[in-house]
Amino acid sequence: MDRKLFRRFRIRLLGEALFRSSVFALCAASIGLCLLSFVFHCLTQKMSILLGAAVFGGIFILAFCICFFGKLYPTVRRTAARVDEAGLKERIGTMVAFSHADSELVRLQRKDAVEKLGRLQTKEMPHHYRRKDFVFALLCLLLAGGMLILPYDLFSFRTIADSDDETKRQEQVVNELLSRLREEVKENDYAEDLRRELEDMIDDLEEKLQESRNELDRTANIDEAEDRVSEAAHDQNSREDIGEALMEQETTKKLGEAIQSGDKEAIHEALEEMQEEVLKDREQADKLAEDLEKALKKSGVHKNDPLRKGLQELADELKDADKKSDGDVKEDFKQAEEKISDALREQEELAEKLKKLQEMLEKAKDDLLQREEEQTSGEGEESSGEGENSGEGDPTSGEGSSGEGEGSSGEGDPTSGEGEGDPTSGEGEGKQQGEDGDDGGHGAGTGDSGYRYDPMIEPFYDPISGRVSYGKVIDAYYMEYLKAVERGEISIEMQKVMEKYYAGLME
Amino acid sequence: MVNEKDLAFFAEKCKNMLGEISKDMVGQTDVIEDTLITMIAGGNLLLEGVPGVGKTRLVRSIGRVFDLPFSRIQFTPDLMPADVTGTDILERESDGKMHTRFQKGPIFSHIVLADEINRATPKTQSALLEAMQEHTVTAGSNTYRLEEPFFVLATENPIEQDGTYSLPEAQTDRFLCKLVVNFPTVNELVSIVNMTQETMEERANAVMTGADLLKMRETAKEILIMDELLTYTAELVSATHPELSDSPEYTKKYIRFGASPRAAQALITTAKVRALMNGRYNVAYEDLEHLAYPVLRHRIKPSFAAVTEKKSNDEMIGELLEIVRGKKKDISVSENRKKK
Repeated sequence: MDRKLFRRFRIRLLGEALFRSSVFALCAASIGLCLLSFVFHCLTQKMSILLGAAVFGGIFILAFCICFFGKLYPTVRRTAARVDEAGLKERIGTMVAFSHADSELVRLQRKDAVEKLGRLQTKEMPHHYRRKDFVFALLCLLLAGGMLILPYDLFSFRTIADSDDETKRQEQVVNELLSRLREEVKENDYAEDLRRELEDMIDDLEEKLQESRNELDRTANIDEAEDRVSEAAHDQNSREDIGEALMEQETTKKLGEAIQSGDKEAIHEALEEMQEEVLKDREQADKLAEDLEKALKKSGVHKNDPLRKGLQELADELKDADKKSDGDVKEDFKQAEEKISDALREQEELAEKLKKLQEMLEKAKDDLLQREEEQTSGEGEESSGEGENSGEGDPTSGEGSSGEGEGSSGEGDPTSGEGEGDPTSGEGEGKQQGEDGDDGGHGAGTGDSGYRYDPMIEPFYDPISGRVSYGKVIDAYYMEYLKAVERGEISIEMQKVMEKYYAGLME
Repeated sequence: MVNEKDLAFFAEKCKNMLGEISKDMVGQTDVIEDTLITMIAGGNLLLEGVPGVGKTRLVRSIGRVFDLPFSRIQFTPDLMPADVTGTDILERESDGKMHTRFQKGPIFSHIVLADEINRATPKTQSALLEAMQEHTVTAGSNTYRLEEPFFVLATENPIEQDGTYSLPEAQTDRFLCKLVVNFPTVNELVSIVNMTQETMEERANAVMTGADLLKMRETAKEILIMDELLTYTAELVSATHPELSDSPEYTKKYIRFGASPRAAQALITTAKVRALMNGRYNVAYEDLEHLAYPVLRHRIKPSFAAVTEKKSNDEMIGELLEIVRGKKKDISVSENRKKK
């Protein structure tokens, strides 16, 4: 049978098949993406764009192939059936069905069919586009798009479970922290790049805290923010680097030590000595200038740093020292001293401001962990009551040290590996609970308000020595963290932070 | 094997027949066409309509068009089977001896008009059964063959009329088609009145012989039909059976008894004739859908639900055509069960 008869109709049908298959594939891919997105939502995981695109593309291609090649591809029979719908009354279909037969009737039928086919316009062939297909595809696309932009924790079962008082309290702490940080950054006069950096830090912190699901995540995020603030503080504190670089050269060694220590008297003395050297021998000025510049370059501090600028200016002036009078030289050194003092003062002020930010972050961490402390203090109070009745412990000393234990935010002795609490004296164990006091408040004394029962610590308490092994407590917390990881409660990004955190504790 | 001459012969004869019949009949084009289709297909025809719409006139006109012996049996409640088939009678021969001789009844003809068939008793109606199906008549121990072509064209009043006996299923199934002769339109009525004012005589002339009819029948049998259409026919007939698990819910709700396999045979046969009458060499869905009504309407029995909801057989056939073709959704199972 001559396929050329159908060519124009097949081409039209091919276009229709491609289009309808695309619509179908779009529906299937959208539904697939929707379901995948829903699964990620339930797991409170953020779905990566690459994964979503891959799934969408894969389902689209598969569905397209199935629909196009399986159902809509314009075979001869399908084309014939469609052409017949244009009013040819199964002439073409019959012609195709009997294409291998040979009788006079078949020939007559074929002739009749071909004649009718020749007279049929391509546009007369009806199409099978259905409006509801387009509407459905659009709805699927909108649904998939909606699922992608919805917050990924919307359907989380833990979101429902978490909407309790404790979560609200923690959210309140977090919100207060963020607003206070922003206020602090806004009010203070930071350099532009430092201000931007701090604002970025706050924005990142906000984003991460929104994604956090428990206090462990939140405190880890706050730790990260603290690290960033420390790093910023370190970057701004150029005296360490400059001082170290100056100390490597004999001519500038004393000045370097003085700058590093921040002692103004020492700086004054060092500069005076240098001044004397220059006044004695003007040739020394060049060497001194050269050494200063070498040190400044080695320090790696930015050229715009006030301290570096001050020293650089001194170096520049010293290059022309042989043309200057003694008075001018003294004036140069005096100005240099003033600039260095100003720069160091600014750095100290800045360090104070950044320290304030760190304190806010630290306090927020403590507030987050406050509920846990309250729970343990409730139990601790009961047992401290028992302690009292049994006549053990000194309530007053217990109070004092439990105060330390409770509020320990960095008051711990980092060098002591083991707790040194004496339960009879009621000394709080909190101060031994880590450098930064994250676990502060886990006092194990039996003093009046000094002891707060902590199920994590209790197994490791040795009543004979009266000590709690710091290492074992950390291990116990680490095990809890690992269990939380297994349960899928901690995101991949947070795990990296937590691993670093625990590594730091265990060092 | 059919050739172009046979096809031309067929077309010419059809045209002639229609032309002659239209001399005696006004309107009722579809009925006339379907009647001819039935006869060419070699089946018996049942015509239903209120009195006076031209059923008997049509049959008589057809009798005139076919140059074939024609007999008329007026069925009455007191008509006996022997009145239809014939009976043995006692005769005296010339030598004075008595012997019996079978006196053939009016059924021994080529075209038998069984007028108002539903007025006769079931016993008398059954007398037609053997003749209609086997084209033989058994009287006593003798079987007499009826000459071909043989047709029974029966008329009946609608069932609501008093004094009627509805035809048993075994008999209705032997009619290839059942046509409903509707009341003419106003214009048609005016034409009828004008025509009959001039003359009541039947003016159709004979244009067909028995041999012509048989030839046309053979020609029609060769018409091509796709497998898809055969499958569609089978699916349609199967869909009328509520006892089948894959029949539509609609059938299970509204049909009590479905059509027999004869319906499928009838549908294909008549569709081929219709296709050829319309100048085509192949059967189309249109042919099957048009002939589904006359072929199936007397073969399906409505359920109580259909009767209470006043659903006619034609309405149910129309729904099934759409459901089987996939153009319409079947009723839901819950809807079916709820209404039950």
